[in-house]
Amino acid sequence: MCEAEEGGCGNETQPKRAPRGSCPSKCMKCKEGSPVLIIRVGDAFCKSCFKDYFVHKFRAMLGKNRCIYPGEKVLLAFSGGPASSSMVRQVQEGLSREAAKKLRFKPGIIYVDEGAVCRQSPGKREEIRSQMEMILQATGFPYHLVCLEEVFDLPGSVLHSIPHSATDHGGSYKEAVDGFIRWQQHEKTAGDSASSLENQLARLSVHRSSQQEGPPVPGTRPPPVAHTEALTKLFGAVKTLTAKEELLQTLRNHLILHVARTSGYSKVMMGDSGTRVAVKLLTNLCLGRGAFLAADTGFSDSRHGDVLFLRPMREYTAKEIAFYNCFFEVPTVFTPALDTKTPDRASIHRLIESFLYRLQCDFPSTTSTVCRTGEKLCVTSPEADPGGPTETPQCLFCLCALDTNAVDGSSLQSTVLSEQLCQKPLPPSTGNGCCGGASNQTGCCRAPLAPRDSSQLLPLLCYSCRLTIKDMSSLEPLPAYIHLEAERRRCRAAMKQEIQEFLLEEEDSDAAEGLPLS
Amino acid sequence: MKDSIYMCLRENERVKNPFFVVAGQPPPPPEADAASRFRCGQRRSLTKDGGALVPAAGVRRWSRALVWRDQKQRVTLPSQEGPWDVRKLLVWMKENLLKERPELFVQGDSVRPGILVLINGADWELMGELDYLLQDQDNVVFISTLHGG
Repeated sequence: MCEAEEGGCGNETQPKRAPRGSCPSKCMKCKEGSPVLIIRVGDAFCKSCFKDYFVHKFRAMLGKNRCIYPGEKVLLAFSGGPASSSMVRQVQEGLSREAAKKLRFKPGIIYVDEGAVCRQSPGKREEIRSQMEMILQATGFPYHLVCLEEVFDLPGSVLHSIPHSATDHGGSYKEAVDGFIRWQQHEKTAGDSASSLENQLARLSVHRSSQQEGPPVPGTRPPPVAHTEALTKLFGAVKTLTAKEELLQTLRNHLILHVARTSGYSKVMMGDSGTRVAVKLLTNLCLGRGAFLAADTGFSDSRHGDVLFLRPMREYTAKEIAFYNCFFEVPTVFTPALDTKTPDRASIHRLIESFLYRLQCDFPSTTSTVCRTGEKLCVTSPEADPGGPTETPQCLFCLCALDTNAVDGSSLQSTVLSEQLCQKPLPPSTGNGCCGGASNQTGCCRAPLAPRDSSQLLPLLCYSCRLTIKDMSSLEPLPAYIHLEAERRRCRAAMKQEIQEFLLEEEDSDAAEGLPLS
Repeated sequence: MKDSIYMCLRENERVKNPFFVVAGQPPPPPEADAASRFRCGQRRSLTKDGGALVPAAGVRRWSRALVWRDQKQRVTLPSQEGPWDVRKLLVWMKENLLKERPELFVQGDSVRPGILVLINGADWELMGELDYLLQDQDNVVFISTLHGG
């Protein structure tokens, strides 16, 4: 009944207490093999059926959503943890199958080294980087090893959401796939040399571009000490662990987005497992990100416009992933994170995680219920012409649409009001930062930047990012690109305010069209 | 009568020099041994196709201070009146192997939620969980799902 050698329940002595349900004696799928694990409530699978189930689920996720077109470049976000390692293994397996059913995209892998934030010694960081490099080299895909310190070199354009024209593919998904298969067959008959040369050239260009990204060259030199210190100082200025985790996620996403854009990747796959998505869902509700649940926890996240973030591991529980990695020898590397060895109440993330895991023990359908409820939320696609006057303002950090329109009767309005009543009245400000001088508009961008206090960043942020900022003792250590972009947005908003009366609104232009020519 | 248990904190048979822990003796200092064994195991287990294990399948969150990470330990449990089951094994581990923060591994009677237990390569839920009676040469593997992503 139980695998391997002798010694199993029921051989000599009976267990004192019957386990939850009865011990299944055969795999529920093939009815022949002996089961090695239980998924969901009582489904026992043998090893081979489990592998089929696992692999099929991944491909079904990609096939059902039909968002990765053949030949596209996809960046896999690899952290060394079990879920992302499993995802990389699935992509490897999917690409190695027979031609008709092969996955058809071109993967690359990115690893972000966050050792400075987690206070690892340089020797330890070096060790982990070398292990990662060995794993990444073994996959055979082009890879990018970046350090979190590189956020200090990012341009302000990373915070722009570049609209993505859906007409790039010029047709439906099915047509694209058929076209690709025809092209592949044509290439096969024409000779393999052309396609392999093309692939090699593509690979070379990726490697070259990854080296040109600027110091440090990935995998060869450690990051400059000044940047490491700046990063340590930034996270030292954050008071609570919750805010630290949010800030870390924000910076990591910006970095991954930047690498994806500069290297020509149109999709990024994140390794969030179903359990993690459920924890994230409830955590985000507690953090005030309820308006963005669909973007933060759904399968696809299109807030950045041109680069789509996907979560293909969303349907797997952490248990399934751990068993898969164990049975099929998927290499993983342990890296301590911000919340390693912290008590249960150290941060909201930890609290929700321990709550959900404990609930899952007694009620095994908890995480799947939470995930499924989250799936019902969807993002409304923006219909307005992006770049036009009706462009929705986005949060500076998380790039989601701002939800801080404090209309009468909203909870935000009451929160803001109670905050104002609790604080002492501020001294009258000397002007609106660099655009305060109405006389000298041309000089507004050349004047020295105003002192960076939170009151200038707050209007540009969504509610939960505002809470993160409020937990910081000083905003000076934030990377330069955030400050630059904040200035740019403030200047634009001030300018728009000034010329507001001259702008034609949508209704005015429609009304004007109806008027006869005079 | 003593029961011997291979307690694998990583399911990799290729580790050199699994060292033996006899209950009652203080364990050797973890850092030096762990690092060398870790590196040694890594060198031996890497193959060209990269499909081999890079050791990290053991318990993660607390492993660096509480227990030695990614090691196979052959453990000899002291004899006692009744047979050993997993419940008693956890109690024994808490007293003898966990150096600090036992609450990160053991919670109440059982392991902390989020830590998986494999007995002889199979889910412990199939074996009766805490009531499974340990046999000689059994393989018990603990995997944490709490960490990583």
